Amino acid sequence: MKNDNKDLDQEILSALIRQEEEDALAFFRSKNFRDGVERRLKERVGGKKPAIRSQIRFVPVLTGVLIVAIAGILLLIQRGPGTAPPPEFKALASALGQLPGFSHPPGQGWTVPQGQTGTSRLAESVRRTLVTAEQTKRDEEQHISIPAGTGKVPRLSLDQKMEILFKERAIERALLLFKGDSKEV
Amino acid sequence: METEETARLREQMMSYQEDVFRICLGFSRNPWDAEDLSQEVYLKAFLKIATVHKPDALRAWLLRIARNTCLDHQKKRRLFRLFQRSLTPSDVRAASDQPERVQTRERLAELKEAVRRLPGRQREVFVLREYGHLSYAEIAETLGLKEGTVMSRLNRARSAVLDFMREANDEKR
Repeated sequence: MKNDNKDLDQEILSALIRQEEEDALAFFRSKNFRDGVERRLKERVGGKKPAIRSQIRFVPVLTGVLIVAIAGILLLIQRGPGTAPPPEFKALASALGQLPGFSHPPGQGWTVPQGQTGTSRLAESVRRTLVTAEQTKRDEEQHISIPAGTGKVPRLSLDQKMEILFKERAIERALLLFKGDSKEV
Repeated sequence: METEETARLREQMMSYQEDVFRICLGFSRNPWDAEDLSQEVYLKAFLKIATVHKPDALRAWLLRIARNTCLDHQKKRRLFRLFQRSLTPSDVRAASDQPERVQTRERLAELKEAVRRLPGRQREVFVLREYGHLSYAEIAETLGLKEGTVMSRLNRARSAVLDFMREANDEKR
């Protein structure tokens, strides 16, 4: 017992530590430590996320895009109903104007293009009705137009009011027929 | 871009690799973790090599990084300590060894357990002295302590280790 205690004195402790170190160092020396460090260094440096500075470069670009978007939204909101339509609408209107059924030169009313074939009788009658109604309405509008600067609305007789209502109704019916999906004939 | 001075410092650092490994061994208690920790130490050191202004103090600086890295590692592993069973090269060897060798191995296991049970302050002094082979002055510089404090902590640590090993030896008998 006494000898055992003596064995565990400082010298033995140191010897044990040396023994442990030797075993571990044998393992350590069997490895290529330098290569391991270099490999980890490459992994760390190569796989590093881009620095914040490089990310900051994108901030002005994103801010510019955001400002333009906000300005566009504000312009759209401020654009009143009486302002000119956007260029896209104009382009669409001109494209539609090239189509046969939509050609409507100013002052000529609805016309059937020359040499146009394949139109049904129903469509022809609808067009005629529309042309007649439009012409009549234009005449009526000219007849009851409000003189500029007077600020007064002219009085209409009951017959005139009935005539306007009748024509409006006729145009509405013609449009519904043209549309083709109406159950009201 | 690596300058000539940086390359020279790196080479100088590599000459301390076994010192660093021994300290990592003292803290981690197994050679695999010690090797991994040593690589981590050198990685940190290489990345901060531009901050080295005193090449004469390079070893002390490197050993300080080693000590801090090991302490960080211990903190991370504290939660898993209950589930951790350290495996050492001696454990791996077959049981067909000589009886004397088996006894040495048992004592080594007791030593590891004794060092592991030391309070943190005593353990770092003990590891730096017994495994890192640092002088009292170097330990004092590394830990920012007075030499007298280092000596008293080291004495307490040695006594605690020996007491634990004696008790373990008595229990076997």
